[in-house]
Amino acid sequence: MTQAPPLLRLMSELRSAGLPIDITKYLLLLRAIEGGFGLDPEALKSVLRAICVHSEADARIFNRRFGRFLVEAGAATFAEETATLREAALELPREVQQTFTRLMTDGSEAVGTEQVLRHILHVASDSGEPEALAFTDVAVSPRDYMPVTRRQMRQNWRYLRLAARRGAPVEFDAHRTLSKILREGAFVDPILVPRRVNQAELVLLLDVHGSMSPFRDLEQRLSETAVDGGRFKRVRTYYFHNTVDPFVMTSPAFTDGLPLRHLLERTSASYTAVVIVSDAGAARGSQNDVRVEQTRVFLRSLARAGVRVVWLNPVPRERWSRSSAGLIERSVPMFEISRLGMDRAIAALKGKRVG
Amino acid sequence: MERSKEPLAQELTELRYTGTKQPPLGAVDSDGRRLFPYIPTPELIDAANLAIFLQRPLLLRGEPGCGKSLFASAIAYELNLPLEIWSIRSTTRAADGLYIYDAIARLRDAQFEAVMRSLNPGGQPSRSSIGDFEARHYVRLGPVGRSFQAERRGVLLIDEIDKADIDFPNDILDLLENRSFPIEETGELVTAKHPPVIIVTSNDEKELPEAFLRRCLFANVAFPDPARLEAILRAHFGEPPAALLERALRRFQELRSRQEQDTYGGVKKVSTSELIDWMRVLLRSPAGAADALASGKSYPHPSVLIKRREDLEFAEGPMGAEAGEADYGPAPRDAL
Repeated sequence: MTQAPPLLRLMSELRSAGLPIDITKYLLLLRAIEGGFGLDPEALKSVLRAICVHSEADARIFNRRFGRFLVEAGAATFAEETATLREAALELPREVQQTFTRLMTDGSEAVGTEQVLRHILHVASDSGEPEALAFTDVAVSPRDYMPVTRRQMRQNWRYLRLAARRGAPVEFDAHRTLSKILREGAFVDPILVPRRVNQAELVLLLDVHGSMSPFRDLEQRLSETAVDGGRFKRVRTYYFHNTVDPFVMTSPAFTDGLPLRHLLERTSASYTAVVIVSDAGAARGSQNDVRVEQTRVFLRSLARAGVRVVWLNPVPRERWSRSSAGLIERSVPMFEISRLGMDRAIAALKGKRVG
Repeated sequence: MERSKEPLAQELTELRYTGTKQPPLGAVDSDGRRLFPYIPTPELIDAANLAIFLQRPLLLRGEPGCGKSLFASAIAYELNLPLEIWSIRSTTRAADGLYIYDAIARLRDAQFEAVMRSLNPGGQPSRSSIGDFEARHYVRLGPVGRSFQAERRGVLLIDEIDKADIDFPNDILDLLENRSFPIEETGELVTAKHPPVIIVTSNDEKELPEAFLRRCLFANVAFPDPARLEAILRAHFGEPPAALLERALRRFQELRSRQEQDTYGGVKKVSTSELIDWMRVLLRSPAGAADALASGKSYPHPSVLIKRREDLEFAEGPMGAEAGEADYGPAPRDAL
């Protein structure tokens, strides 16, 4: 053999194109072929789709690559690929062989799967082509760099849980039931109380345009994860530029607005959490007294409404002191947008109140 | 020593789903559930067979009403396998699928016994021995538990998994891979003699975790093309009158195309199941329905198909207006 087996190459390409493919999927593909699936191009496409493609976007990428692959692979017989790997496995220590055989038999994954396969693939593609080892690399594209991942954000939002007992009585209250038993001498009926339901409502105030333009994706992510990951009773998102005037905007295009007063009227002192996302001047490093004063006025109206407030700043902490952010920080709990910063912000929202 | 793979492979390759065996009209299964014919796409058939052979869960995605959940019953019917259904709700926890231990009933029974004895000191106890209050009598297996205990390999449908919270799919992942679980209260270990064929459906309301997605095979249940829609209707209703069938399908497609063009997007489009329900109603008086469909833009019995005000306005024709009012009441003035 002078190059990596064709299916392995295809899987590597798909993986570089962004599909969620790992080495066990390649193994799955080989097992399927051994089982008699995918023996002609249409069938192979079907098998690959079932194994690798789970979204519309991925489907489009896959279709393109697969089309090209068929053309390039020509008359290659894919059924041989498994045989090739089995042969390669024979050249390795016995335990490795056994693990490989077991993996191919029932696909149960064990510790060391990766190592075993890496060994075999290394032998199988003795040209040492990088694709053969591509599965073990972790590809991080710069576009994906974010200080907090979506999953972490969702977890943070879920921690913001302000629960109260609401709704139909369905939960067993052991304490009260036991007291009743002691009083009456017999157990007849359990005492049920309503479940604790999350009453937290989130209001997101996002600073957009100008110095905040580079953080647009981050803000969008915060907004989306709050809606789909948090278990809030309600999430409202509003936009502003540099300072919160009497008006907040309901869309980033600033086409429609709402007086701040109205927003605050529909909040609850116990359960509404307001999260402001803004650099507070730290991105440009400027100190603007008018901006600081306007912000303070705004924060005071929040305080009067009694809602919980925190400020999230996408700019790292060390740059705050030389700008308006350093001053605003004295009036409101301000946190970096990092894993730790968000943890702390949520903790502050749960524990403390402004005003 | 290599584990002999022949017997297992043989059993598995014997299970080959073709999508050609349909239940007779009006049939019910052993649990009394109605059985419906199912016309799968070739893609779905392949996916099902892969899932059976590779022993991986099959994740079905698609619009509501397009027959994701029914696919599991179709497979179970053709291959003559027992079917267990686990319908997921927002409050479902992984443990619920395994078993439920009714501690309160146990406490109450023991308490009741004690009260009865104290009221009737010399009399016969209602339960013969303390053994009757043993924990194992109060264990009720859930769908996963039952499918593990089955004597034959069965089909396990985990329906609408995206309704549960974000950790749920990963919790059940461990469950399904281990193929056994302990019943804490009795110390018994339930092991799957024959791991079930697992079908998971999702309405895409929430994203599913990566670890879970990596474990599954995928298939998309797409909205059927006109030819398949016709085949589905024929399979459900025998041979409906040709004129009625053709006009109903055309009218249905018009509505659907309009909904697809709707700029507000994300709107719920009429689905296969609604078409089937509509057809059922139309067939009650086929001649009248065929006439009604022939004239103008009207839709007889619109409430079966149409769930939104905007679509009702579209459907309102000379006869549709009256029909619409009969279903919804007079239109309000100046609806904002």
